[in-house]
Amino acid sequence: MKITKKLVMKALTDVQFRKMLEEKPMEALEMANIKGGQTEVFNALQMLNEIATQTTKINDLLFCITNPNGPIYA
Amino acid sequence: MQNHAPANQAAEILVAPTWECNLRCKYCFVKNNKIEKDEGMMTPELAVRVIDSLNEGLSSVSSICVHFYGGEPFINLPAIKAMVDRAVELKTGRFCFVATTNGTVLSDELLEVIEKGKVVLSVSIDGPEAVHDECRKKANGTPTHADVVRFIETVRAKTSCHVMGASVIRSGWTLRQAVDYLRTLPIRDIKAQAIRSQKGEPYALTDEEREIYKKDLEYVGQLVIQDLEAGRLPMDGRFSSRVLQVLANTSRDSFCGAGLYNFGITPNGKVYPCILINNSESLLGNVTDDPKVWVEAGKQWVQRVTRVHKPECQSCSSFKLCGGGCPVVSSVCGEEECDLVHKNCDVTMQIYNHFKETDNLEALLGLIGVF
Repeated sequence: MKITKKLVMKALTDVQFRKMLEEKPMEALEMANIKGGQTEVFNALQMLNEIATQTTKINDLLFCITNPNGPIYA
Repeated sequence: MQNHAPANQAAEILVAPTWECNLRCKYCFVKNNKIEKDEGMMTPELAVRVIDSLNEGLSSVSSICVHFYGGEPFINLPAIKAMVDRAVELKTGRFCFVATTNGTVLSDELLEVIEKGKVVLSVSIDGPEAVHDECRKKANGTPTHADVVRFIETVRAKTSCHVMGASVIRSGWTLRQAVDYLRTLPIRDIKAQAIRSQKGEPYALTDEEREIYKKDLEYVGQLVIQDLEAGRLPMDGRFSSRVLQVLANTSRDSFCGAGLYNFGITPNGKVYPCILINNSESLLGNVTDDPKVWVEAGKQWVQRVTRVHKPECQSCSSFKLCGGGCPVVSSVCGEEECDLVHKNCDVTMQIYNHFKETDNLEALLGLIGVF
């Protein structure tokens, strides 16, 4: 999880790194000198997608409640 | 360089299976603002069509959250059962369910349906008996606090459903009191927010109480920081999306995804950009139409309504995080709503800055609950 979080934090601040992570993940890891594998990349991309989803939600209003733990599919 | 919010992959649809309610809460936003219409009950056949229409019309999104609303949605259990059954039958893996309920309608059949749909329940409970029962009574005047507590306990004991507690903050009852009360209940998440009404209306916060409310938002922000520092998902998620927004450096084009990823569907299948916007100018179509009709009409509505911002929004320091405010609530509460959203944005920055100053921004990833 530590490596995954490191990847996510870097991808959030570096647009080019994120693109590379999506398209050429192993090269991205090498460039950033981060030791990790496909699992960490997969988890990082999932986490980035979840952030993208959550940042568009609004939790201010009682009317717009969504599950803060993410979707629980039927 | 600031990024624009990436395309949403999750849709949330507020569905009212009925506008009827067995309670007569004195501060009901739906009733007081005449949002409900005399449409009776959604039929199970139409409920199936709701799911099919969403599945077809929103084919590009990864997640479709159907949020049962009303009225009291569980009064129309046949429609809810039909929606859950159809979603499970389709096996798309994209449907999830939330219900906003007053927690007074309970049966074995209901427990079966919510378990099958893994329905996340947002149960309205304002506070202890005296506080809750002052406003939340049945049509015949019977108080409901004991029913709601029984509802929460039964759901927790007999299903695996996730339960949230939701309180309305009103004159004489503070946010801090409500949050402290909700944290004593057997629930995972809490939500307590100021009554949305016009100044001078019954239970509206006074100017002094509004200031206390804003101070209490800072208290909630401190609780969020404590939870994150302890590696826990915060019980109160009101700041989560905006803190993640700051972390990801994104801005909002509009307050929410109404018309694009958020829609409202009434008991007779009419589709609106939000369940709380149901004037004739905003009608997008019906679930019985070809889904392209309401999807396309939604895009046009967005351009016409939510992309047009008030002049004062352009220079507002919170605009990036706010996106121009909720068109429904802003029209009822006016500048007072802006004031509260502004404060929410301020506390968002307090949370972010706390972790930035302690060189621990990674801790904010704890806001993403699924990980």
